[in-house]
Amino acid sequence: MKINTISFVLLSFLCLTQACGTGSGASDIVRERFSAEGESCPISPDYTSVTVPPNIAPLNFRYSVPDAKRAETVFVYSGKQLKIKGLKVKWKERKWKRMLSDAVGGEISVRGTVSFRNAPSESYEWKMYVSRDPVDSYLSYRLIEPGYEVWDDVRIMERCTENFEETVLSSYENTSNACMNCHVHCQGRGDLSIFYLRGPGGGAILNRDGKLRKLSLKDSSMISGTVYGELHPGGRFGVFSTNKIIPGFHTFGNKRLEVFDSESDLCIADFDNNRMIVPGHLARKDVFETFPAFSADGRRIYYCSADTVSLPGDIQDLNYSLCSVSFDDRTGECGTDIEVLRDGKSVCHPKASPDGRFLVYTVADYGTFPIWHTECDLEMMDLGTGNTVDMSAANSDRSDTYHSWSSNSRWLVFASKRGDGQYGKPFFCHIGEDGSVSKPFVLPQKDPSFYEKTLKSFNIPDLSSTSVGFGYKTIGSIWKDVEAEPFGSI
Amino acid sequence: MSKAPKICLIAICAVLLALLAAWGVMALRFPYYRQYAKMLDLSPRKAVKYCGWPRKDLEWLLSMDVEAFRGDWGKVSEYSSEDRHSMLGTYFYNLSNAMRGRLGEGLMDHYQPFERGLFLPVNENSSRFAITSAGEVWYRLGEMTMAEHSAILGLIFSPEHYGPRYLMRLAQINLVNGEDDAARKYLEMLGNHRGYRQWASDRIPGSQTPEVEGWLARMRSLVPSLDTVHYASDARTSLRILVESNPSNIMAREYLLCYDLLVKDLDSFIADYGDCGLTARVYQEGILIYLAMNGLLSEETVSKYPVSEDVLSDFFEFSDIFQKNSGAMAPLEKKFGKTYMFYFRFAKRNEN
Repeated sequence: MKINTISFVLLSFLCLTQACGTGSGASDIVRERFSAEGESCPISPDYTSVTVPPNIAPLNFRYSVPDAKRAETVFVYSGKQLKIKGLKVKWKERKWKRMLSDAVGGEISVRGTVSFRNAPSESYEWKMYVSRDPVDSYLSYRLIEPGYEVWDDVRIMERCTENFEETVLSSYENTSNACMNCHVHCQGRGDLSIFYLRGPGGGAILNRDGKLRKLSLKDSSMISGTVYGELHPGGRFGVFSTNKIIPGFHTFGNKRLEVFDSESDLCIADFDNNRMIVPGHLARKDVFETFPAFSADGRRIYYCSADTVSLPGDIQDLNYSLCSVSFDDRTGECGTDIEVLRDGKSVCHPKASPDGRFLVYTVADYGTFPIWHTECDLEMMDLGTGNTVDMSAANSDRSDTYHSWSSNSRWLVFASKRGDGQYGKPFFCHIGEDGSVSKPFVLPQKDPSFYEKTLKSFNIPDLSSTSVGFGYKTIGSIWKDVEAEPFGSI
Repeated sequence: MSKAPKICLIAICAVLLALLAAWGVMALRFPYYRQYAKMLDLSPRKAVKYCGWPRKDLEWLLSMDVEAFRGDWGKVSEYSSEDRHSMLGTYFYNLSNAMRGRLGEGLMDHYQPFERGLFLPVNENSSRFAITSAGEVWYRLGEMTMAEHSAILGLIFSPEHYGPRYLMRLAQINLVNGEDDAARKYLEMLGNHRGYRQWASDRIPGSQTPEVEGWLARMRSLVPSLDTVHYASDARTSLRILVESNPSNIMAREYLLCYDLLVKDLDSFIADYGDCGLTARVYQEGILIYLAMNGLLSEETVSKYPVSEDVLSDFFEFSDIFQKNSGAMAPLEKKFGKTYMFYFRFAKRNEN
């Protein structure tokens, strides 16, 4: 038997003595071995050197080394040891939870021994770090083929991150195949969220304190219905963009799709008085304004803004700056104190952490649709200092976009096209109190080969601490039987 | 066993046998229907549910589609040569001609529903079948973005959102684009399908057969080397970029010229024709009409283009008859019904 790294005994000793909070700073010999020696990760999904929440579902995986015949995996943690046989490592939930609870705040050492048909056995060693910070228990997302321009049989799902249960929040089957998109929670709250059902019978479905309303968030002064947006922590207001969205195609094959706006403005929806407020200075004809989001205390709005250019021809000159403006949550009025926080490249999707410490957004070379931009990365700003924080541990050579914070501000989930480059998958990374970022891991699935077989992207993953409490039947009834409440302007 | 369950068992077996026999007969009579269902991974029951019962007109469409996907252009040409005034039929007719370097030559010998016989429109009224077929031309032209977009659309609107056909095409496109990780995903999925294992194995990045390597080199020579962003309906920009990137991509050049001619945009036609020197009759007629309409028809200007004496003489004859009969169509139809001059004067766009 060939053991490539330091002895297992020594590793076990190290894992017992080394305290670990996030794991991102801990040295990891095995991880170095994978990268320094040019070896690819022996397991799929890659759960090596990752930091996991103590309440996450079992991280089932399989050995992806070619010609493997048999495998045995030993997990060592807190002086205990667990052995699983088989090329597919599939946990019993009870055992997994017990291991995580024993290893909280520490680490788990893993040694996998793989035997081959015509070659000597090999051992691989790695670690997992168990954070003390739980992740929100629910994750919603839309499952859709990566076309994004058209749809058929679309669903919005809610997955329990603590196990493998997945429920359907809204389904094409109950809404005559209507398009549905952008289910977002306010600061990870299951009782405050919104999403859209498009087309006839559609509207914005507002879930506020567990009550559902169907709203027509549009008035005559707006260029379109609302598109991107976020709910105010107080629940009375929402800030949205209104966009005329146009898809365009690159002639370079692997650059694929570019989506841009021919017009875009910001607006505020007052859910108590069914009125839309369109601030003139945030709805300028010579400026594109989009992707608005509230600060954690609800007193500012972050958004992206770009000077208009001729499209699609000058798309590479389309650069969105990150801006902010004050917001009065008594009146719904926006101030005129526009502040530019970040420019130079093109910023999308700002999201403030619920504790108000950080702002995460994506940065691409140009444009407003970064999901096919391989250079697109997440960037984090410390709102206390205005400095950016290194997120290289989370980013990849593919697009990393559409992030969402957990309600305790310690976890970030985002859609990443790493790996196959084509299908978005939800990845979680731990954000330390000091802003340290851990290596991300993909949402675990019961079948370790799930992501290799699926032809759906996980679109706009969004965390919530509790379930939204409604399902596709309720949404189907609302779609069919409830008239959308009209909104007027002031 | 008592008598009643025994009879019941026999009846079930008889029904199953009858269904099997019916499927067998159907498979013999409608081989392309069966092959199409297999490519979409549809069981007989699902094939009937989504495609309807096999019938001759459907079999005809499927025969062209299946053979085009396989790249057997002789068969596509054979099946599509029957002019049924069908947009899909014309699409495959043009494609098979283009693949054999004679798009322009054969253009006016067939029903031409304007540009829709070159590029199938994909919209809310399009059938699943047309959506699936629409990407074939882009793939053959070397326009991988549009080809992939079409393949994904086909997948989205396919009955099972799945099927070896889509996986094969997506694998091919990603191989051409150098997106090996994506290609590997599709190839590994195909590796689990009986009947596609070898195909997939031959294409796995790093262990491709010489034949596959040759195919890859050929395909990669076609793809655009210039990048721009265009609308989905803007076929002309895609074609111009293909030609500009690779002037020897004759198929793209012919599609561009025929597109200009079919939409009757002769200014664009002349600009796109440049000095390419293609001599199909349809191009010669297009040149003459352009020159005449712009008051440029002279011996000197005509001599700059490869226009033959025959075409020139026909052009004058057409013009004479047209003028003498005050623009009436009937006197021209017999002799000139299959010329571009006739199409230009009389073809009317039918939006239905």
